[in-house]
Amino acid sequence: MNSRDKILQKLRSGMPQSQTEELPLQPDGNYFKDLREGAVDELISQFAEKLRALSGEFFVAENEKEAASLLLEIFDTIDDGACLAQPHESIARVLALNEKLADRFEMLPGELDGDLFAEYAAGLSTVDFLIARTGSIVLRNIGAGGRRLSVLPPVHIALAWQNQIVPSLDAALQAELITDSEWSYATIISGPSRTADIQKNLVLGAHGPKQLIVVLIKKDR
Amino acid sequence: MKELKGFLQRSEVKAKDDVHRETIMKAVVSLDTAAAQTKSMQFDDWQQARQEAAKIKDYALANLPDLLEQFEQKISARGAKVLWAENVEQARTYFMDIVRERNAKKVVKSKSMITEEIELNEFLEHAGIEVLESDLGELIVQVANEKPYHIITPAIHKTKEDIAKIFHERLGAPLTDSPQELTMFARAHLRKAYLSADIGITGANFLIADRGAIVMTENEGNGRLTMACPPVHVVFCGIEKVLPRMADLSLFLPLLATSATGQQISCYNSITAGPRQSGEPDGPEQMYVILVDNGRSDLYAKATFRHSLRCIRCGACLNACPVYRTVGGHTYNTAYQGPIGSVITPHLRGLAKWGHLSSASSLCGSCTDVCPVNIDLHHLLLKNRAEANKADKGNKTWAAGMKSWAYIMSDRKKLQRFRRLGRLGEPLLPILLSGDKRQRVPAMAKKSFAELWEENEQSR
Ligand code: SF4
Repeated sequence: MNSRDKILQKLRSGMPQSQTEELPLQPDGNYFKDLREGAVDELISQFAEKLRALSGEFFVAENEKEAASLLLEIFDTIDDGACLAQPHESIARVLALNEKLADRFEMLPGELDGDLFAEYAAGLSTVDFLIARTGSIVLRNIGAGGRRLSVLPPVHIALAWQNQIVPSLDAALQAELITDSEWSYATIISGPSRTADIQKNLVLGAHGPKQLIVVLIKKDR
Repeated sequence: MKELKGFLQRSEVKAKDDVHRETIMKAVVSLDTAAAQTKSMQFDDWQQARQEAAKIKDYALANLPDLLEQFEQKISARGAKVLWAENVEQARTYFMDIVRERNAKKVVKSKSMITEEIELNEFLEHAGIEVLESDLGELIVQVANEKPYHIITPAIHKTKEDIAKIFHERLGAPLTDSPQELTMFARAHLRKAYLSADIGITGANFLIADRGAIVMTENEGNGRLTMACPPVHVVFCGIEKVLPRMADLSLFLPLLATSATGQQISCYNSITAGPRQSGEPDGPEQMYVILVDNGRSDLYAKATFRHSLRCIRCGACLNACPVYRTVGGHTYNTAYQGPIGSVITPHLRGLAKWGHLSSASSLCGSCTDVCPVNIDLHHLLLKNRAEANKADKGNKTWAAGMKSWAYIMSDRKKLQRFRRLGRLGEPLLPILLSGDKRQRVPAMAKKSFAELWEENEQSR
């Protein structure tokens, strides 16, 4: 017998005799005090408050054109290095709305050497969900330009649309986008990278991005 | 006996070390306070939440073999390879086979307790493989040539001055004790490692059966980089870490973050369901999941102790424990310290050698109070003690002492007689106990309560 079967057999013989354990219902966020349902504006304001409490930055644009000028302002605050953008049609559309943006970013090529990331100061990606309750964003690698774009550059800029906001994590995890699509990597991001490993002192930008900037467009994607 | 002696010697030293006490107390009190605040800030009813979490874990344990098979089937369908290791040697051998196949020289690693359990780093270094710890706390203890002090914050015992010195002497860092600058130094130091490593190793906080995925919680981003850059991703994980459904994370992630660090949710929670798929822009070519048993199936078979496998390794029971706070992490000499370590180590590694850990507890129950999955830690410690005493047939003095005590306590007349005897022998006591300088023998009362009562009754 191979070790796989040995382990499984050992577990089966050690299993509780009476299988009384029932699986509790899907978690629905009912344990949480700070769960807000309701109008999108209320969710946006909770998201903003929570993300800022985590030292994330948050901007709202009324439409895509306004988002494009906001991105230009944001690029201006980032020192040396261009921005690497996810080649997603919605990102391309927004970036095309302001001609001054043209030489400020490059589209992520299909094949990119890890080393090349070092030359870029920021990564711009879309998101799949915004979680109001915790100020988190949810990304799948297939929806957000892969695994590296949102973690290797020192600044991560996430572009989001208002219909992507949900009250809590369970809503995102049970959404079709997550359950029914094929992806190999998804991540729930809550603020810029941090550590408190040195005598509990909080330091931002341990290994991941030092800055997380979320730009929300008040339109449906 | 060697382990017991070592434990006692190390406790003696640590208990008297004021700097150690201050460093540990500051850290655990700050963790404790943050956890308590976040509990009341985010949870409507913490008790209900942890009961629910315990139920989900109990379901997962009751169906463990089926869920493991489901996990294996789903993640294999996406091209990951699942390997089952019965023991330490097998887990290491699997890894060495991958090293050989890839002709790997350099490995970058994010924090994982199970690789501590199988002492992977020491093993790989002997084999001439370069291993770089990427979590800041782990890097600090690695560079200091030590073992982690705590399952969540490995360098909890180091002051910033200690770290400044180690980084300066061993890594050539500029001398500074600013946590900000030290962290930025580590960031720069490790950047290249992710890009040049042949293999990335991570642990897993959860295995998700219905998706076939591993979940990793962290704050620094080193885990994400480890799963994104090297061409091979190897996951080490205990077989007990299963959750039935992905949606269970919406409870477990906040629960773990709250108990571990007092955060609502950790900064990064990554769900990895395979290596790079066709059409995906990047990611490792190969992914392996090494499922480690190493004694867990034995623990699983013991009905009384099975529920200790609910543990999500949040570290809250360490922070709450007066023994951990006093003697520190290294004193245990185990991969898992504190109450949970004392509960499981004797079962995973043998009662004869590790049974003494069951007594490293004041039985105050603080650990049980804080555990987010309701493990009855202090009662399990008592049950361990009972097992250890049963097994320890060699300790005749203890058995005889307990028998005499039971005899004396069975009848109040006997007790009174013994008391009188005791008073006669009182001058001898300090001599009998002089071996232990810490024990001061209290003077016996001239009259017992019963005697006083009788006198009082008579004089009425
Ligand atoms: S036993 Fe409970 S409190 Fe201790 S580490 Fe495990 S989950 Fe946390």
